[in-house]
Amino acid sequence: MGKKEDNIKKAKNLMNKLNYIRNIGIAAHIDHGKTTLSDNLLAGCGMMSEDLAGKQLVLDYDEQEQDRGITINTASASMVHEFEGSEYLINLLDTPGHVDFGGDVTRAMRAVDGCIVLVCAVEGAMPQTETVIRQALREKVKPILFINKVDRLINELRVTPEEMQQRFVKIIAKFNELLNRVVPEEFKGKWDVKVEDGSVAFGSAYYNWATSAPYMKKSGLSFKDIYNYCNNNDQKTLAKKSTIHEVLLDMVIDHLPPPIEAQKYRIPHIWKGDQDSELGKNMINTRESGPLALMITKIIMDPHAGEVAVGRMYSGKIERGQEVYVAGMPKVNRVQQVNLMVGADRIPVDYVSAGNIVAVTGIRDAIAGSTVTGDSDAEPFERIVHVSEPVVTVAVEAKNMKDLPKLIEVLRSISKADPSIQVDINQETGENLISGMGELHLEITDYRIRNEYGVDIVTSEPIVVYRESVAKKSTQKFEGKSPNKHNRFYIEVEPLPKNIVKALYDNEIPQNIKKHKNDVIKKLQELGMTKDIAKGVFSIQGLNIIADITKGIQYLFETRELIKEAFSGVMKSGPTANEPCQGLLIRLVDAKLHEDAIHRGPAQVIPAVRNAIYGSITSSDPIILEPMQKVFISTPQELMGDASKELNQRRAVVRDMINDKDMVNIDAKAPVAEMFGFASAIRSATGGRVLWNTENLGFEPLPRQLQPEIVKQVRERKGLKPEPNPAGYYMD
Amino acid sequence: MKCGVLFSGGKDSTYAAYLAKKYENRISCLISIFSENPESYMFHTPSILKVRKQAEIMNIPLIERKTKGEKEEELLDLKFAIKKAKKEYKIEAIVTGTVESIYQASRIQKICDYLDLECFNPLWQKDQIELLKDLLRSSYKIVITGVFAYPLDESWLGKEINEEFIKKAIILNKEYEINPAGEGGEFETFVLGCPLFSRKLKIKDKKIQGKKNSWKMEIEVL
Repeated sequence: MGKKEDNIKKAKNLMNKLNYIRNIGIAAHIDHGKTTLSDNLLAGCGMMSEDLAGKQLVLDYDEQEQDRGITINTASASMVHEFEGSEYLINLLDTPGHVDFGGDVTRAMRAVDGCIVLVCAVEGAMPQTETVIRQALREKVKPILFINKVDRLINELRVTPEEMQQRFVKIIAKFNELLNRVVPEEFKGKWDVKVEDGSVAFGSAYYNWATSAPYMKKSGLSFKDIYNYCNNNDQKTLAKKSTIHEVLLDMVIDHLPPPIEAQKYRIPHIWKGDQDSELGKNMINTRESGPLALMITKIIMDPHAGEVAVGRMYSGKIERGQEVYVAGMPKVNRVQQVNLMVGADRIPVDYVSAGNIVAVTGIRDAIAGSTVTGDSDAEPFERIVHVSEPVVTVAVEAKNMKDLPKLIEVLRSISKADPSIQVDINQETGENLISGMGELHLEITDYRIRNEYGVDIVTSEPIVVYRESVAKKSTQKFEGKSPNKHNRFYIEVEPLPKNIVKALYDNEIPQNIKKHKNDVIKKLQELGMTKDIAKGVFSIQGLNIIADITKGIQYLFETRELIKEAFSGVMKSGPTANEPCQGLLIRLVDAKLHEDAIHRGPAQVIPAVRNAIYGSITSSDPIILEPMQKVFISTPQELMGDASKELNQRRAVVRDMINDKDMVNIDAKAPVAEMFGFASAIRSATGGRVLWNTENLGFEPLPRQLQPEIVKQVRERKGLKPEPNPAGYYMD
Repeated sequence: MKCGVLFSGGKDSTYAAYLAKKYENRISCLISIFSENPESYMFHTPSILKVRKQAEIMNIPLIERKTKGEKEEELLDLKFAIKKAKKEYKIEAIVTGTVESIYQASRIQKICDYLDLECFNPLWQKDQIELLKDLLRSSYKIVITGVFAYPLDESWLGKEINEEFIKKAIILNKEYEINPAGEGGEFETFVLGCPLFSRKLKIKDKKIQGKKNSWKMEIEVL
């Protein structure tokens, strides 16, 4: 107890010593041991009892997380560690490892400057290892490597010291290879991890020990000694001589940057405002005296305090009673409580300053991803990239009609806390849809609604979300008329080139085109778009672009906001199955407008533009895209037949198959729609002896022969007539 | 003053005629242009027969002229009809029901200037909700015969303008910027009864056509 309080006091004092702060995350493939490691770090710093650590999973504080043994929410914790005679404040964000919760990982990465990536010594680098490295580097977060579960290598697999070293070399090489695929140019070669300099550590989070080259020198324990301790079943002594938190926090302090250093190169990357402005300069220099800039990465629901917003302070300080703005929201929010986070505890403090992680109550408009400032006009941070997007939907109804208003409230607050959950509330039909990253993601949301919020619900079978696109370029412009026939818009559509879709997906093109016009034009031209079209681009909606390539049409500029509105509506609901559109380049090639503004209001322009876009899509070979998953299966040789049989029934394509001793690793790709129920099917087919996991791969065209049937199904489910309208329907 | 009223049979031109009379003008004739183009920029296009019926029960002569309804050229037909009214009925002024359309008002004004006539727009810039309320207060019986705006559909055809309609119009204005009195061409009306008529008209037959947000109802009246 005493130590914990002492630490809180120290933490408060260290908050504004910017060279003595590290904001870090821990990320890994599922079950590689993140939460166990986090708990041991906390315990080592006196934030919880050491005996419980590794067993209690404090950061897994959702009851449900403990049940399932996986971490769902990113919780954060601050701790104090001494290194070379000085005390440091380490703010740790724990991140979930299951692919269904990818949205949380990316948000957590925004708040940290460095990251410990865990790799299991037995399994090696797994698909999600690659994903988390990619996510970290995309935010210019520096990764270091911890090879975990070394005890299993020695005690279960009985490898020799030489074999063990070979394995490490292999894992490190693989790690650096993955890193170098995506590392920012400026850090090429500089961010490689190496045993010699101590940017690699290995050990066992469960048994609470670890070591690294520098620490071996310091402690005098050789590689051989460590091997022997494990072999002799005396990891307890090892944990005393080479404690995990000492080793890893030393590594963190030595190799990961303090905020004052990291914000210099991270701010220009994550914030596209004017770098020479007052806010820009203060963020780059992490100044407490600057204007407030806080990026919210997580909303936690607390039964007593309500919504708690957790985020990273980039500039200024935040204190109780302060009036703040959430970017994009009109109203002033008043800060109630300012806290440091320690596991599930929030410790109230007077204020928290730039460079730290903070938990705040009272910012009611905030959602995960919001920018909080003291000035309503401040430029927000770049949208946080979701590496994954919702692909599965269920319909939710309240079991008792009287619970409906409560259910709607619960759904709203769920989507606020987890923006990778998308909620569509239809007040008229009473049918509410929840979309998420996968079956498990939705099952957990379902569980939360029932148990945490206490609303009894009925959910439908899961269904996948589709996308609409076109297979070819329009052969001629399509005319859309307004209901009064006095306004006409002429539209052509074509598939957006793949590299541009990818750039949009990776958030490389600023969303606010008005503000970053020149950047957008330059970027699109670099990607191969002609100058005429690039100059005309005036709105981006999802992975679709609209460009105005007309010249000198009177009144057209005045209707631009309405055209945007129509465009955005159509992109959210296409003509074929009312599913969102993806990968479209819409070109406005001509328009005729009534000279009287009264005859070209929204009730005229919006339907006219909508008709034109719908019509041109319908006449340009419309196609349906379906979500795909990477399916990675690790099976014993003798069960390979059963495993492949399960895959074959699911339109899966096997991309690679590697023999690894008596195991076979299958790398396949399958439609999400076919993967429902795979968990129980493969379990019963193989007696649960097969390891597998999935990762979303984005959308790909549905086989043509399946399209009419799927379109019909989706339309009927939505209460539409079974066949889409022909192009002629949109003509007049 | 002797006036000719540009008359379509809808609420605005009928109400303009009523106001002109109230201000002690004499309505010498009605002038109706029948467009062959349903998408004319200037003219609403009701059938000739039912406008004749209205003229008949108002006991006012009607000057009719057909036009192909091509943009700008249709103005020549209007000019010709007004000229004829001036010659036959010695009118000194033209009355229109224009409320907000600068397009219509400016073109009619030009013709009047050319023919040396006054141009009265008694409804000009009137608040549209007030206009609807005034119509109700003056016992107008008005039916919707056409809708041309999102999100209106065929269910609006045949509806009468009453208190309930005004409530809905206010909501539509808020949500879709639809002009409550249809001044942006959002809907077309036909007057079945008003103080100028010697009796009320009855709908005998109707024919509905259209799609999406453009619908028309042709009616025959008794």
